[in-house]
Amino acid sequence: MSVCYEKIRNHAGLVDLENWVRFDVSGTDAVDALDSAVGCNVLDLFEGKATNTLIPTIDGGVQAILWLIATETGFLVIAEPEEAAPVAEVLSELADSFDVTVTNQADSQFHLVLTGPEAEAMAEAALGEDIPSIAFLNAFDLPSGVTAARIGFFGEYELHLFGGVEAKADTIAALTAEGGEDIITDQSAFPVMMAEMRILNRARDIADDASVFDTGLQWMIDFQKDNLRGADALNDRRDQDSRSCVLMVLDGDAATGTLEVEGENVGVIRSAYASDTLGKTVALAYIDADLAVPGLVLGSNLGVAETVAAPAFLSKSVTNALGPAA
Amino acid sequence: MTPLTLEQARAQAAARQETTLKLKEALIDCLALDKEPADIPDDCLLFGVGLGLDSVDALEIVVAIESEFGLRVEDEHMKEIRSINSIVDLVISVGELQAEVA
Repeated sequence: MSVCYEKIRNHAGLVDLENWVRFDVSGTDAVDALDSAVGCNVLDLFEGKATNTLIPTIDGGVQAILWLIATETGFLVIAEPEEAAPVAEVLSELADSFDVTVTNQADSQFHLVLTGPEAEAMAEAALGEDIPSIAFLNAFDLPSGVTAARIGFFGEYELHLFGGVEAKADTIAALTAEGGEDIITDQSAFPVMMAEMRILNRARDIADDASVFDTGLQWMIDFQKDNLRGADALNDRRDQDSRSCVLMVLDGDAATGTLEVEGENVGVIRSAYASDTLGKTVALAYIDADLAVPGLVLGSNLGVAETVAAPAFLSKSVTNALGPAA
Repeated sequence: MTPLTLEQARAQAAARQETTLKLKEALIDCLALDKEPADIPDDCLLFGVGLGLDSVDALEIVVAIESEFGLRVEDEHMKEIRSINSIVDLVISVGELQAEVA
C-alpha cells in the first residue's frame, strides 16, 4: 500500500495542490460569462456554494472538468492540472467577449487539501470550531482569511484550503501541529482513489471521441439552459447507442486495452490500478451499452472482470458518518 | 463466481436496464424533475453533488419505490438510497426477499 493511499484512506493526509488550476473570475458579467461556458446553471450558485461541472465541447464531448466556488467577489475555478490549457483557453475567450476579469491565481494563491477519515477532527482542532459547520459543497472564509471549501475527489472527508501564498506556511504549520509532520503526503495515489469512487479525470479517463453521455457525467449539465454550449450536439448524442463508462473490478493485473469476452470486442479498459482496499484491480472501462450495468461477471481476455456500481466501496469517512449500522 | 456467457450477461443487463428505466421515470414523475431518463446516469449520486436532492426528496423517493415496484422499504434500507444503481440493487434484493416470504 502506498504511503499516500494509506494516509488518506485510513487516517489523514495533507497535500499541496500547488500544480492545480485556479482562476478567479470576477466582474459585472461573471455569472453570464461562466454560465455560457459550463454545463451547470451558474445563476443557482450563490456566495459560499460550490459545484462540480464541466465545459462541454461543441460536439457534445467533454472539454474540461472543473469545480466552481462562488465567492464574495466572483468565482474561483478549480481543476486538476491536466485541465490548465482547456480551462485557460475558454476563460480567455470569455474575457474577450464579456465584462469579466480573469486572473490566474497559480502564483498568488495556495491550494492545500486535508483529507481522510481523521481529517475533520484534525481540521477543527487546528483551524477552529467553524470547520464542522461547513457542509459538503459549501465554502467558508476562516478568521485567518483562508477560504475552506468542501469539495470532493476521493470519497473521503476533504477540506480544500485556499489563501494568499503568504499564509501558506502558517496554515501548514497549524495543521501539522495538530496532526504531526507525518500527515504531509503527495498526489501519487489520487488516480486510484478517484477510480475507486468513479471520479473521472478527463485526460486519463475520457477518450477524445466520448460524449458526455458515454462518460456518465451528464448530471453536471442543466439541459434546460437556453445558452447551453453544444446543446444541439448533446441532444443528438443523448440516445446514441454507444459505449458507456462503467467501474470494473478485475482479478488480473492492472492493464488497459481491449476487453474481449468469448472472443468478441465488448469494450476497452481506459484506466486500471491496483486497489489496496479491494485487493484487486479497479478499472474504468467503456463497454457496450447493452452490458453497461453493475453485477455482470465476465470471463475476459484480461481475467475475470465484474462490473460494479460506484463507488467500489464506501470509504471510512462515509461509514463513520453513517454510523455503526452502515 | 462463475462468469456469465455473453448471452446470459446481455439478458441480465437487459432486465436490469428495464428496472432502471422504470425507476428513473418514477423519480422524474414524483420529484417533478425537468429531465429525461438518459440525463440521469445510473451511478449518479442523488444527494449533494449529483442530482442535488434533499432529505424531503428522500421520502418522496421511498413512496415512489413502494408504489412503482410494490415493495415495502424499511428504515434499514434507507442508507441504500444513494444512487440509481443502489436503489435498483435494493429493489431487486427486497423484491426477491419479499417474493420468497410470500
